[in-house]
Amino acid sequence: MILFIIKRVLAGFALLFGVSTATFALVYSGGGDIAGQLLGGDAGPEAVAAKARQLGLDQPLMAQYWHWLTHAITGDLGVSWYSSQPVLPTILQRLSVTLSIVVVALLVVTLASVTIGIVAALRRGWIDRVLQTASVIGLALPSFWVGLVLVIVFAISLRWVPATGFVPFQESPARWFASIVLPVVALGLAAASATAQQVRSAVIGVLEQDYVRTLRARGLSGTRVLWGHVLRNAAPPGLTVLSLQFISMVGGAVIIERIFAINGMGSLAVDSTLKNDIPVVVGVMVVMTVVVVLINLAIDIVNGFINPKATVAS
Amino acid sequence: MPKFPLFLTALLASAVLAISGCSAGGAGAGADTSTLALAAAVDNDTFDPAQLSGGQKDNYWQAVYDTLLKLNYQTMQPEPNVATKWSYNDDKTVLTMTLRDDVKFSDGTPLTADVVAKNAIALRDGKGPNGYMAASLADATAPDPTTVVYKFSAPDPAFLGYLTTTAGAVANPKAIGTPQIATTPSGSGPYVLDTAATIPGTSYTFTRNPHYWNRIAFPYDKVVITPIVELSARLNALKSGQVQGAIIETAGIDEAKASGLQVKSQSVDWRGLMLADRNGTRTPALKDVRVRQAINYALDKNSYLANIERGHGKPTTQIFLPGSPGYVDALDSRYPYDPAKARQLLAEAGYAGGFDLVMPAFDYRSGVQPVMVQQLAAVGIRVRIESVVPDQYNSVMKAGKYSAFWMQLTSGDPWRNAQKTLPAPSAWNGFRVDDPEVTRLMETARRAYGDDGAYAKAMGDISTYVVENAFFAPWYRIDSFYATDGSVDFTFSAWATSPEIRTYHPTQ
Repeated sequence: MILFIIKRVLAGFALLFGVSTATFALVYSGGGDIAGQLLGGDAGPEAVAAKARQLGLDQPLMAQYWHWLTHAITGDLGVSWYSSQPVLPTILQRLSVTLSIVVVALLVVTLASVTIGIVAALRRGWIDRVLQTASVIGLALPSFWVGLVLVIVFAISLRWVPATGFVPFQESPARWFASIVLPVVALGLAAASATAQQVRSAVIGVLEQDYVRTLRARGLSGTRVLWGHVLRNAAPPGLTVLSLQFISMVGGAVIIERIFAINGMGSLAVDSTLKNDIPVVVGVMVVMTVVVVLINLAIDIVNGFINPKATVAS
Repeated sequence: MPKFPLFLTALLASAVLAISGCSAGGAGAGADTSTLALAAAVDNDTFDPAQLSGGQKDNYWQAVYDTLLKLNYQTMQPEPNVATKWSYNDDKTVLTMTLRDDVKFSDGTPLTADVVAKNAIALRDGKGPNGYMAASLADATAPDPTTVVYKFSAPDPAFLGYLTTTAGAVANPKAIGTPQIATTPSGSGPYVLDTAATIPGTSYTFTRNPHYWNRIAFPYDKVVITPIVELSARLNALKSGQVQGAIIETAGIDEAKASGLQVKSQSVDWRGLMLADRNGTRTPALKDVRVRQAINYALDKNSYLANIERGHGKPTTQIFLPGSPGYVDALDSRYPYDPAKARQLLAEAGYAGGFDLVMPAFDYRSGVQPVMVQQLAAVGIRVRIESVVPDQYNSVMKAGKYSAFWMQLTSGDPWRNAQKTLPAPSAWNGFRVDDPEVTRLMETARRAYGDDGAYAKAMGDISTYVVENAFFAPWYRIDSFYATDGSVDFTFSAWATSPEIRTYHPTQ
């Protein structure tokens, strides 16, 4: 297991280097008048040239990359060209907002999808059909539309929760909950629907195995068979789907953050790209790569514990 | 398993608490008259006065910086603020200002004339977006603590107006030149940035400056500005009472009014075409004034305004605002929609068969594009539209890559408008067209500055020359909209698309 983790960590570093290099090359070689765009419409050519010099844009690309890389290794991802804020603390602050929503959404998705998936797989019949239909509908509804409807009903009409914004947990747990409840539902609905289908299929697949029939024949209770054997064996595909859903939700948060005016990683990525705030764009890519690598590593480790064959196979 | 019920119980308790306390969390800001909660369409980029860019970011810096002068919205003339009086020498190259002696920065440091002079030099040398406001400044000195003397290389008729905006913002001398000035402002304005309650990019909280000399002019104890990029989210924040005021776009007007929000509008920005290649460098036809006039005649501007912009604006042919020196009422009817006249002018210019014109796509900004292309084709001008990365649109246009292009520019002080668009080394003269008559007319206006009648006539001559020679093809001044939830009111400046902080007050 240790060797497995070391291999994964090394692969993660290689991926991080590749992604950061590719991102840097892409955004810096994109062309366009970055300095002029940062200064806005009224700035004259002299001001634009001075800004380009100040940002180091007059230097060769390799020199700019080397400067960035040598600082990035020490944890210094630079300063935003737009807001003058240091990049890493800005990203970490935004990441905490997005993760706050996505982690809760993942929790809700896990609870809902496992419950729905197990009930559908065990009961079958009309309950299965109803839950499957509901899952398909949940999967088909666009998250932005769900978000807008939720805002209209619960924030504007009923005024139960705020329509926009995010309140940090440490500021007020109650207001934090109120600020994330709608984004979590909007973000998690499709994910829960997709994962429920996956859990249902996995559970049905295991239930149809010979050893389950044998366990039942030996007199084990349905609960023990379910929790002790069926779910344990159905878990790996479910976990894999959940890890993919997590990554997908981090990406999908872009739209949800826009609708709810929540300034998380998605908004930061979009805004910094639109503003040509390249240090932030590169920083976002680096941090997101780290997040994805860590999630995959965590899922691999958990899978390894649940099913040791997975570790050997990989 | 046993932990799930506990967790769910906690979650449920949080939900009950959240829902029961939601009025405080969601609509609390609107109900509290001691707090002014606004949504901005753009985030703040800097608090450094030498790097401010203004426009929709004005409210951020207006909270922390006082301006030397302020604009009287009735007369559109500057009036005293931090500076109490001022005078020019005869040739308008030396401006002497007297400052209040009771103004202090938020840390208690006195605001003195040498600080004001230092700020002026920092603006000139900072090469920021508004550095052009101090471009003619040769020096700034402080003979005594309440007297500042500006010396200019040439008269600048817009300078006093600039001092009512970003150029008039004065930073603490301890902050000038430090990196912290961009993120942690120290000004002499009505509020100070509460860094503990502020999350850059998310919300900015300002509390009262204990040393502010004019506290009574600002009724709110706290100002919270939340950048919300999406129009729908801004409207939702207004409708749910989270914010009290926000700039909105045309697409949101009906929804805002239907939701009971108060909407005010005014026309500041002009929309239309810039016929930039007047030397015919890329498109030889545009060198002929008759061709440029033909373009003005070929387009049914009133129809665009009525049908595409839904009447939210006023037709114009000028880059100067009504009521400002240089605006000539009669010029607005100079180019009625007349395709026959357009064809005749093209024929006289030797382009009876038309010509090809490459223009950048602007359909993402205005629905007029396909109609414009069709109407130009009807008189023989074959337009080929090229895609341009939207966020690089302005810089590409300023670089002179397109002979003619759609643009929306803010009108304001007429001299400022002229400076930005007409001289050869100006931001929006991408082809560096050096027109000797423009230079002569601007020099005349510069010399006339100080004599209101002569200055207005000289600026009017500039507008007439620019319209007659079809430097541009302005279509209309488009309305800007600002919505409130009814708990606050404000006054629009005729020269800005969003209200100044100082104009907000409770309706009750």
